[in-house]
Amino acid sequence: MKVATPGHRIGAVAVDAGLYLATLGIGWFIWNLVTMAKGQSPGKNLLKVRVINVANGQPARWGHMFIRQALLPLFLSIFYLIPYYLWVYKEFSSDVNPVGVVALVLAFLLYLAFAIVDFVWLFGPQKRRLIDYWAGTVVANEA
Amino acid sequence: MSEFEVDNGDQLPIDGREATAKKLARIYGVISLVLSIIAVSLIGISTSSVDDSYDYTSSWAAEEDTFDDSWAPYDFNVWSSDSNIAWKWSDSSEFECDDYDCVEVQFISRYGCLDSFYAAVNWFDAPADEDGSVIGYDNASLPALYSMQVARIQFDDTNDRGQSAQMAEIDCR
Repeated sequence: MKVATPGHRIGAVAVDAGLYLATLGIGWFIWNLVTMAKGQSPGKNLLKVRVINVANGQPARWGHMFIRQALLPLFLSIFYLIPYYLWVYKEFSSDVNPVGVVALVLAFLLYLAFAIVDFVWLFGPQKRRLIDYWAGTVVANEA
Repeated sequence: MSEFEVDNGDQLPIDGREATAKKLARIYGVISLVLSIIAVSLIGISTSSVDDSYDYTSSWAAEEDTFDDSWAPYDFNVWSSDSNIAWKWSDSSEFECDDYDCVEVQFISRYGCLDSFYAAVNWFDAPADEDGSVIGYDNASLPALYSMQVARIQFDDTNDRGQSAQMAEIDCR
């Protein structure tokens, strides 16, 4: 197994973004539901890269992919999304304690810091994002 | 071994990031959770001491607890469902109507209505001291009414059949 390079990974994300826009999200979403069962997204499928479960060396299954692609990102962003949407619900009223808004901004900055670390780790020895370590995955290049 | 099998010894260079990733997960989770709880609790609870703010989402019971009409100028009636607003009918000698019969109402706001101000008057077909039916209404709005600023607004009886008027709605945002 060859580990996918950062270039492959970024390319797959770019292809996913392009497909998402081209199909208004719907086509990409349906395609993604299918490819997830084989440890891929549509972009990964086209570029022949695949998410591997490090524990058993097999392609990540649908449930594992769902955790990696959806649940983990949702869990990581929920800390700033909940207070943010609460503030949106209050129509960005000035009638809120400013310390709460500062805490919201700090939560978002922390998420941003995570996103930067997540990206930078892609260039590490194992070419794994931080989220790959948390999900126990590595992305392989099958080309 | 399948073609996807990973041999950490040969294929994946060993690095110390597994342990670091776990530490980062703990740090990120704890700090984010604390910040999120602080943000949710403080954004969820409105302050009430800021001058240009008024909690329009308060429950009726809370409004009753904080109902304060001491700020309103003499002769003004504090609006029953919003103690931030007071109003009074202008004396007929203070204004002139144009094409229709009309009434004039003076409004004043304690903290201001910085986003918008709206008022509506119902017209009745009987004098104020008799039972009558609503036969029409007139309304008016302002883009803003600042703190303790008086607005004089005329409400027309476009049916020309009204014998009395009743303040029907005041909405200050």
